[in-house]
Amino acid sequence: MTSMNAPSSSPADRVCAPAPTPFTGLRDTDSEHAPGLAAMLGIPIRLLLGGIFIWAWYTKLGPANGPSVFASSILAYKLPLPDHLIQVATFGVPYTELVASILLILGLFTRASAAVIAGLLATFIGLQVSALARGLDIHCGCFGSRTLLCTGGISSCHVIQNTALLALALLVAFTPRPALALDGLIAWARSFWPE
Amino acid sequence: MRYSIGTILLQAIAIVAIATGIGLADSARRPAKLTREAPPALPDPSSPPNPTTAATALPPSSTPVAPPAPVESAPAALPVGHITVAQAKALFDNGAKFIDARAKDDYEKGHVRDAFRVLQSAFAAGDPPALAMIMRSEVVVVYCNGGHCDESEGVARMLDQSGYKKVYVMHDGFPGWKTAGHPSDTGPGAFPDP
Repeated sequence: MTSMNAPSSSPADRVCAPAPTPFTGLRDTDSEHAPGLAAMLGIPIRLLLGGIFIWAWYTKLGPANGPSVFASSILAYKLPLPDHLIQVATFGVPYTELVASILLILGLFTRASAAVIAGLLATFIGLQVSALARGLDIHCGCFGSRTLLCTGGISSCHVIQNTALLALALLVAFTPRPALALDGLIAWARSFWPE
Repeated sequence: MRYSIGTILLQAIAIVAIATGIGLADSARRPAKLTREAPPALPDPSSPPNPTTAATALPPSSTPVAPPAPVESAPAALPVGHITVAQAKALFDNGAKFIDARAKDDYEKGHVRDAFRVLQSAFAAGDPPALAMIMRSEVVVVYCNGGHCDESEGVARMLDQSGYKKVYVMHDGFPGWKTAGHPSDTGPGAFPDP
């Protein structure tokens, strides 16, 4: 008797062997099941990331802060960017953090929001590694004139901090069914719509 | 919901686009543009700086530009580059950055709100990290304990050598600021000097 998993040379066995499971990537493959552990873990992670990045927006552009501090931080990285891109980055990055954070907390477009946060974090890590490699003695600028865990100028601490946040964001981005999310409500509502 | 990678990426791009649009709308409503300005000429050493002149060149601020401060107290006897507390307050209201040149203990007992603490000795190994938060085109006010303290003069000189060309010394220092009842804080700041 040939096992299902054992290699077989018989043409009949090859015909009857189950098809290999296709690579699913980010696709939702278990929508018929209740949210798993990753989805439940995603709730505090979403609140944490959302809170951190809303605070990041506030420290950069909030009512109590002008944009010049964040613009100074961007300039300090000595990137060959024209002024209009500095302007776009000064306002675009904080508002991207804000919008993605709100969506992440609400659970609306959860995976896309987490992907946006992950993209921002990957960019920040790249900039920090670049600054360290060039020996720039500058401040991170991640939270305006404030700091999260790492104080002082850019160091490996900042890279580790952002890498940990990136891992959390990726966990949410790769979790098929976020729990306690508006996405679920929308999916439920759509189930009533005619095909 | 069942989303493909493509859908998620499209949603992510839409989020970034919408957020950037909101950001640019916010940028448009702010009073001025952020640009990499060339360093302006040094203030005329023959006359004390006029806060109203400096305010026109200030970087954008989230608060409206305050009306010009009276200069009736502009003291001819002040050393070159020094300003009064009233002039410093006008610059403060227009978003100027303040640098406290005093020792850590003095700073933690009280300092101008949001002032960075930078010691002259911190320039020995290049620009202190706190300067990354201050554009060279910005107005900077340095202070110490007022009177005959030299720390603010030293830091102002180092700032000038680092390319900051709108640097003023608040002549009466923090004691004068505090006496006037202007905004101040206590405790360590965001950029403690090592």
